[in-house]
Amino acid sequence: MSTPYVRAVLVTDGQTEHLSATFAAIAALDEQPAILHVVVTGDLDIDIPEALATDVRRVDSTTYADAVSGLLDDVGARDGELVWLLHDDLAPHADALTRLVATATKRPHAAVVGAAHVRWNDSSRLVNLGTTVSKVGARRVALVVEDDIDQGQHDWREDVMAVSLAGALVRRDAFDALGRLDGGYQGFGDSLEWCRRVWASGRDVVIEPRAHVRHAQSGLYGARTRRTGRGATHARRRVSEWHHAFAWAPWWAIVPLIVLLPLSVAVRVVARLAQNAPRRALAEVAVLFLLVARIPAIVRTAVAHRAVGATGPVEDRLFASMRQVIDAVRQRELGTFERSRASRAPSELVRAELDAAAARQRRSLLTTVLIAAGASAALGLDYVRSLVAGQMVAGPGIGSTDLPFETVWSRAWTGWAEMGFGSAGIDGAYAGLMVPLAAAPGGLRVGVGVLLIAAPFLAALFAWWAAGHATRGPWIRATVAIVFGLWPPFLAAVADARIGPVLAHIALPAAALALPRAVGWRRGELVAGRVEAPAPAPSPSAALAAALAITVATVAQPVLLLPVVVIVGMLGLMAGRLRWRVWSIAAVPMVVGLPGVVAAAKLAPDWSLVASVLAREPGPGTNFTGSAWRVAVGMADTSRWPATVGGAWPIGAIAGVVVLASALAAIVSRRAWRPVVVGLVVAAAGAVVSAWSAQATAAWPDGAGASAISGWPGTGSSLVALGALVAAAAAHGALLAGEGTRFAFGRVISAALATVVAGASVAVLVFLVWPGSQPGSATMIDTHVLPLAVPLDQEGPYRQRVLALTALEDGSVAYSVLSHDGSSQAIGRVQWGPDGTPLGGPGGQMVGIDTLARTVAEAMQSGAADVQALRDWGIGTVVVAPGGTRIQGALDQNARLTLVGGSEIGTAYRLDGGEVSRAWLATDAGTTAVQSTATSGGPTAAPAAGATLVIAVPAAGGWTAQRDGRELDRVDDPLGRVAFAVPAGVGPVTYTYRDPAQRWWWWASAAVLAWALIGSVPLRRSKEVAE
Amino acid sequence: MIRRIVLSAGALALVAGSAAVVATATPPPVDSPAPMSFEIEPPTPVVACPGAQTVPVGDVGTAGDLASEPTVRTLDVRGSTATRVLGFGLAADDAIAVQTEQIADGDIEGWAALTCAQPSFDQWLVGGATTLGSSARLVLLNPSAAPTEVTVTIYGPLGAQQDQLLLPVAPGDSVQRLIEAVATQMSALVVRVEATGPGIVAALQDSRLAGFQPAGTAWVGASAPATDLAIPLVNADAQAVPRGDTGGVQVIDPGTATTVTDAASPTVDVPPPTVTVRLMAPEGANVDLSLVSSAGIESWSVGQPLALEPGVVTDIDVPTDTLGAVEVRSDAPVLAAARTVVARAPREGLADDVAYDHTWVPAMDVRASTTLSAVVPLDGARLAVYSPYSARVDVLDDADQVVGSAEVTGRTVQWVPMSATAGTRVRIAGVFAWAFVMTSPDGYIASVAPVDISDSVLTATVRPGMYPNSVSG
Repeated sequence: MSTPYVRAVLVTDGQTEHLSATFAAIAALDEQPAILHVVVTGDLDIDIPEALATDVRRVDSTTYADAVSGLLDDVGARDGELVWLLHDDLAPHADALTRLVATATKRPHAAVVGAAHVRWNDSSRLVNLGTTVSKVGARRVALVVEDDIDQGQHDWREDVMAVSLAGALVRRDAFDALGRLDGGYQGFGDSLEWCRRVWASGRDVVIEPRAHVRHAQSGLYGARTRRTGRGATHARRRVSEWHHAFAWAPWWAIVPLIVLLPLSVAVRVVARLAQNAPRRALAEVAVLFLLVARIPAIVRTAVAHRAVGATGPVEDRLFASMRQVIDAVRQRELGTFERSRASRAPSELVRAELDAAAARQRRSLLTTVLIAAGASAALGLDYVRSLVAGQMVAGPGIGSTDLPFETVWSRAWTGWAEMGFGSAGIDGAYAGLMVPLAAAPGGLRVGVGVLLIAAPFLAALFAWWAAGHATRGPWIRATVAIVFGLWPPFLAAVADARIGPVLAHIALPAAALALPRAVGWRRGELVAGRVEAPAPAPSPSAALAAALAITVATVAQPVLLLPVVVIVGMLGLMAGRLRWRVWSIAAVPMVVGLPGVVAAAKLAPDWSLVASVLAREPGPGTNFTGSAWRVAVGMADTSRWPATVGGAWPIGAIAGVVVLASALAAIVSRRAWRPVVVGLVVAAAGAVVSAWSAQATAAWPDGAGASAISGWPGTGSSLVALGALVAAAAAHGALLAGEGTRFAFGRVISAALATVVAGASVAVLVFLVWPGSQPGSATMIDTHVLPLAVPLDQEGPYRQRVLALTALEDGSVAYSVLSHDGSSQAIGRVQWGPDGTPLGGPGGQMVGIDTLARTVAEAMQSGAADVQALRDWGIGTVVVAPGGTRIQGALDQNARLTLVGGSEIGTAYRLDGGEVSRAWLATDAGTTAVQSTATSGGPTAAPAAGATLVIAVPAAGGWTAQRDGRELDRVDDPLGRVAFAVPAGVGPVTYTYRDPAQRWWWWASAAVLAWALIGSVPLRRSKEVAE
Repeated sequence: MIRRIVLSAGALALVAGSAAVVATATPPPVDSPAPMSFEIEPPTPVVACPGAQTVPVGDVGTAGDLASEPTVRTLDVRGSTATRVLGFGLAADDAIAVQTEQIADGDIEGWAALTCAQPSFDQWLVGGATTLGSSARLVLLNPSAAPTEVTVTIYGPLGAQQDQLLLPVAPGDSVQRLIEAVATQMSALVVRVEATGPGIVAALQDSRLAGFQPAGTAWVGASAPATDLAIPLVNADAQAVPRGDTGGVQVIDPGTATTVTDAASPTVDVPPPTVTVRLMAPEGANVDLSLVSSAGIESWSVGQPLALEPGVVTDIDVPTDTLGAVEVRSDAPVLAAARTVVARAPREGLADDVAYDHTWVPAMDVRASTTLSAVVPLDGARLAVYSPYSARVDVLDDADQVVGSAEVTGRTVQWVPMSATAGTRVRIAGVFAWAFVMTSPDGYIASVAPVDISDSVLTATVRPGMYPNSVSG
């Protein structure tokens, strides 16, 4: 048998630095090809070793496929000719050709014999040893893990679905018959395409694992393009995979593939964001567009299959199994193989020590969990009972917490608050924070209740977790958690149902947990003074989780926004090369909190007003009148304790005093001075926030009945606690690393102090729940605060409002105008300024419910009172709270009202004289009610002769109405309502409220939050994805 | 090293600075939605009168030796508008009216009178007893168009009774209850009537028997607690009478109404009138009592301030034989009324039997100037006026004409001659306590106390709030 004629073809564009090495390797082959054609695309000089018999040609081709094809056409074919396809960054081992030829000779049915690709710089590491594809979707699956060390473990392979044609020996006749390389693939996937044609035409594809070629993969890594790295070619590679899938799909699978395509892109985009690879996510999106442009090429490929006879079946065994696909995803996308290779196995002795340390940490966690769960149970026992009984949290400044999801969503989406006669709010961010609670089973009622019950538990748990960054001392860690979870101002906020400060107190340790994780600031586990379990690598997911946590904290308590942004900025300066990652954390809360900053800036240069708006209370809360510094340093409010233990007030001060003293001692100790300085700065910021809150008017009267309140200094106190604990715990972490008597003494003192502080914290909790105590102002009441049938009118098609009257002890009457079953401060205050105008929204004329004062006064005293003013503002029902019997006496005698029922939760009267509605069309002949929602109405048929559309909301900007798609003109209304002139014509009338600024902010916030949410998923990524 | 020192010192300075800031932080004054008060034109006033007195228990009809039901009686309601039936009472669309009733025989023989009042929400009735021979009949009238629910609390010598009466009263209807059915053997009573809705008009019929002889009947009207009170009319004897025209007084001849042949001896020794002051402090109080007459302060004292336990009803005998007034000064709100009992010879009965009639006069607040109104109940009714200061008292009628006038020395009680006829609405402005009294030589007595109807404008205070928990922000 004669030696086959081997025609080597090397194409180069000169854009690789490996060309000379390639020539050198070819020159060093044990067996030379019969001829080496060097095809040069472009105008460049190349230096070819004289020993090589070469045929250099210059062509104008721009692709490898064209260059090869053009050459083969030029040189003609010989019988039994083998073509060795070479790249300019591919250096065959000396015996490579010999082995390939041997295999080709041994496997006469094989149309191609592929070589094993190894790393250019390390030939022991495999790059490619054949590929296959999944049956559906044509996912390329490599048969070896990249960088796997070649120990001969793959030498058994022969038949594979595809080999890389780079370095492969191809039978010329088959190559020509099967259409050579398909240029439509643009260089990625053409090998797979041709190999599959081989199988489909009844021939074989064989890999020769021992024929090694070093491959620099310049094309794959983008070395031939402006942008380098594998990410540069990701989109084209993905497009080629879809090209392959569509080209090889049977006709009936085309439509399912088209359906699958966007789903695949969507899932991949989410996954890329979760992997914090936004460029890769963009590349995934680009796939859709590139694929559209690829359609003609796909069609050509499919036609070519028939033309060359590649229509036969391919053996199932050659396709990738599901397990292979999953393995490929884990290795290629998630980097499982990289991490297992990078992991370090400690010695048996160290492992035993680490196991013991882990057991100590578990006991610390268990202690924390038990105490925190006990605290939650003790403080929330009444909440639990009442929640199970169907009641809801209520209390001063809260209103109702049993609001339907639609109401919460409407507030978050439109920014329009249905309190009083309605008003634009600064934003819907706080309501957005309530949306997940409202969406949970049981709705907002259960969500708020569970939040308050679980708050001490969550705060302690996050604090324990975060403390692990600073110290590995299990008892100190548990103490930090107990102190933070049972911080007296926090417990007071829980008992008063101050939802915002409670959320902030939970979110702050979550941020303290995530932020150091983002930059890898964490103490490793010590074994005999040596760090044996180093901190995990910095995590971009943790950075976004920190952004989310800070966003929650700053939305719940906007006063935190600027201080936290400053603190994040400071931490960024300390984060070295990861500073941008840290600074980007501030982006999310700043976008979400932007309307508040804008609202505050509008009040400049009155800086006290600016400060008040920045320190506004967005949710429920009552006025604070105590001593700000006592709250700031975490001293317990003994007035909440039983009178019998009032003398034990020093116990309530122990936690705060000791923790602050420890923080100050920490900086003097000079241990871990950086985190200690950070902790002290955070604590100082907390004290400033406390003072700021206490001095600010956190809410002015809102025209809907809520009083002005000052801010709650407990929010700043949470920051004080966080900072002081960071400083103290960080110093303790350093103490653990030290050796000698001095450090041992310090550790003993720390443990003793920790015991005292933890005991004092638990004692404060016990005093707070002891019989006879007054933990807070929150109470549990039945969910229906209005008689049962009344909310049906509120939620009905005409959105009637309700006037609720409550007789007060001083003989006066409090009145509220309700659009829901109770006031809705729980999903966000309206936030008016001191001048009685909204701080946000598109402006316009505002009307508060005090305009009804005279009507209410007359109605409660005289049976002859005229109640038309109620109808004018869409109030269809009057409800008298229990105890208002004198008011009932007057209403009973009012001929314009009809008693519709009474119960233990109130007595209801309905306005006589026709349907009351939120909006109506007024003509001389009468009125026609318009079906409405909170912020929109219609379509309702309007009189052909025209009418006036009156909407019973204050004449704020943002309200528009249409008839036949034409915008209607606003007209003045004597009562200051929204009114439109409806011209003569046909067609129904609609109206809606939209604040463009709010909508832009909403979408911007949604985008950054979605990014942060997805990105915070700790989905791992391989180095390839990270590039 | 230097960086560490600088940064550490900076952090400490920040902590110190922030501590100074927080130590000086004070919460700002904050606004609450201000209460708004409005003057409201009141609805058309309506008054209710309790109607005729009834024999409370043991009614055995009008025949026989022990006949209890009166056979001769006169009931008049005087005011400026017509009356209409309201349950067993009467109503009138007026601000004030007066009801007088003269009963000539039966168990409830005697005179009774009452100023017909407008509905109110909280009123105290000081008077009555439920001991053997005594009956206290509570009459509740609802002249409005809305139902009301009434809570009745009974106070006795042992304090407030735990069990309260809850009585719904339909619009335009009336309800009566015998207090003895729920509070027996109470020698001294005070009844509190609290009403919901449109309010209620309440009156208490205090009727008594002494063996088989009538021992007086009277209406008890509403009182109000105060710290500085005067009862203007105690022991209104039938003698020293500077009467005006007596032609309108219907003098009932006992002989015309009796079939009893065994007439009592005219030589029966009729005891002098007796006076009792009833006191009750809802929250407890220390009370000083003084007795004044037309001549000035009388020498009567209980010796020391009287300590009243909360809710305990106390009766104190007043030793006087002439027209007097009782001053009540207290350190806490107190209720007071005086009962004058006049004896007479019975029209029939055993030897030594004595019959009585009585009347209740409530105490009035003399701390500040007021304008009180009444309707002259009978021609010949006398007006007694007490003043804590020396002052001239002018009695004006609706036409602002002076129909009576007198100079009253401080801390005396005087009869004021009157020229107004029965049914005339009169008013007196100033710091006075006054009442009309009607007596007859036959030993009957009744009195009428004035009421304040000057509240022509109502005040209502409202404030925006949250719901529930309206009062907090």
